[in-house]
Amino acid sequence: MDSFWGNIFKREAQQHNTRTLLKNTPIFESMNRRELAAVERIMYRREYRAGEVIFQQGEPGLGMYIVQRGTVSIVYEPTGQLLTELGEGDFFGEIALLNETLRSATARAKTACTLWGLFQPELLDLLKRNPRLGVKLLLPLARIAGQRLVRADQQMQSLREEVQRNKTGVENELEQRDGAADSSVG
Amino acid sequence: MEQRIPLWGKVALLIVVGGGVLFGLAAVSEVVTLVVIGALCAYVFDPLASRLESHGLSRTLATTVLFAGLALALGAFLFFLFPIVAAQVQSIQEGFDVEQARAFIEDLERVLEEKLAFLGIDRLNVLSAAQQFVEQHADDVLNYVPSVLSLFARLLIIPFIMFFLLKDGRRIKKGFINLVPNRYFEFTLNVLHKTNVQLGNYLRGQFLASLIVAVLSMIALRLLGVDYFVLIGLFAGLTNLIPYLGPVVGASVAVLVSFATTGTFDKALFIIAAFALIQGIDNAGVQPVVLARNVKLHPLLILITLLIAAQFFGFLGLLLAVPATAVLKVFVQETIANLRHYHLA
Repeated sequence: MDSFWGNIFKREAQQHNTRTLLKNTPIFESMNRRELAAVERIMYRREYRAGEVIFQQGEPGLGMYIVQRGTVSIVYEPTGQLLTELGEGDFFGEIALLNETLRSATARAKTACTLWGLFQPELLDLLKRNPRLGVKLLLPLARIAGQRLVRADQQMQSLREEVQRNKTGVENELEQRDGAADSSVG
Repeated sequence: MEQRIPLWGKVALLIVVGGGVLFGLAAVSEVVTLVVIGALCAYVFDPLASRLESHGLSRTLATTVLFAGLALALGAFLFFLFPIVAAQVQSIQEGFDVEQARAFIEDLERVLEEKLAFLGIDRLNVLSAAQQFVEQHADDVLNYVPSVLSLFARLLIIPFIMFFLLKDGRRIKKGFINLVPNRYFEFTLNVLHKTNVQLGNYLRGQFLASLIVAVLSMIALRLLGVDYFVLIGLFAGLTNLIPYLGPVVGASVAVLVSFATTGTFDKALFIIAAFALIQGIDNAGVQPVVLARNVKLHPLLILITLLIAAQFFGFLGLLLAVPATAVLKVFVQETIANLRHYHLA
């Protein structure tokens, strides 16, 4: 699974109402009902038709989405490679909450979707109005960013090892071929 | 096949739509002015309401506490300054008898004729011109009376608008954003966010600058012994919102009042120096802090804006023209920049 876009925090699928949807999202799991209600008030509920673009690769990212209903495809644009598919309870784009970076893939609704969006302007406003709740939101966000980084690092390490193994294999093969060629010449 | 509108078409469309909106707004100029004042006040005081919220208050309670605080501050201001302001207003009313006004105009005429003799002007006839003006506009003055009566209604409407925008502004904004189609959703959020970041300090800074200029003007005029210093100070603070012209108008009124009450221009130089000093403090100390680079308006744009505002929205329009143009400019700038970022243009 792609460690940046895939949901590495996935839990058992449940029927969600909005509050339980938030409660089951790792970023909000330590919040009580009142805090969840405060977060829900600053979130946007959006409906997408099948095939509709949620955000495009290369556009400035402003926040994250949680899937309440439907399936979202995350696609790497130039090649059209499908990175992952996200379903009910999954979330994506959360790094954009911390830093306005360009979206590194396109998110498209595979089926009709209901998403909940949380965006940087509302987060910054929340930090001013309710710093305690803001910190309660930022801390898990930083933890998730860290976990994704660790996963990405592990993936990179295993890829590096695989490349190294392949390289050694190719070198050995070449050496064997050279040896065979030398002996046939000799 | 998709038809693309050429650039000239877009510009023409923009002019037609812009002109239509301007004329539409001018038709309901009074309502627009009240809403703009209420919205600007709400925007200026929004961080204070948020600060109160951070102490655990709900938004409604925070807004109520803020309003109570503002009412207290206004009450304190009126308590300490109302006797002075009332005395000043009364003395203007009492002091304005026809003979004194005639004497003042004759004095002014004499001084101007002496000073302007080198221009070859020997008779100005200001008095007869003034009489003619008063005769011509006597009916207009009577027509203003109902407006004065509705002034109180307006003064009540502004805090009303301000209260609800402060309390429900976030909900109104969210409701508006919810209407935006998906393709433009993040784009709209971004434009509004960037506009808010750039304008927040600017508008609050302008408000603070006006307050500082008003207080400093009052102190300076009091020290110089100019009558009606509170009224002139308040007027100077308000006109400070009008770039270039505002400070000149404020100083001119102070000089004229000084001349009208003392009969000499002895204090004129000191008053001008005091206003220049206050402008220096404003320009060197306050403006650099509040004026973001992107909010800076070209002098020509300011001039055109002021002319249009005066034409359609009167004196209040003149005061609000520059902040309103700054809002519009930053909004348009951010829209254009983000149209490219979001591949919409």
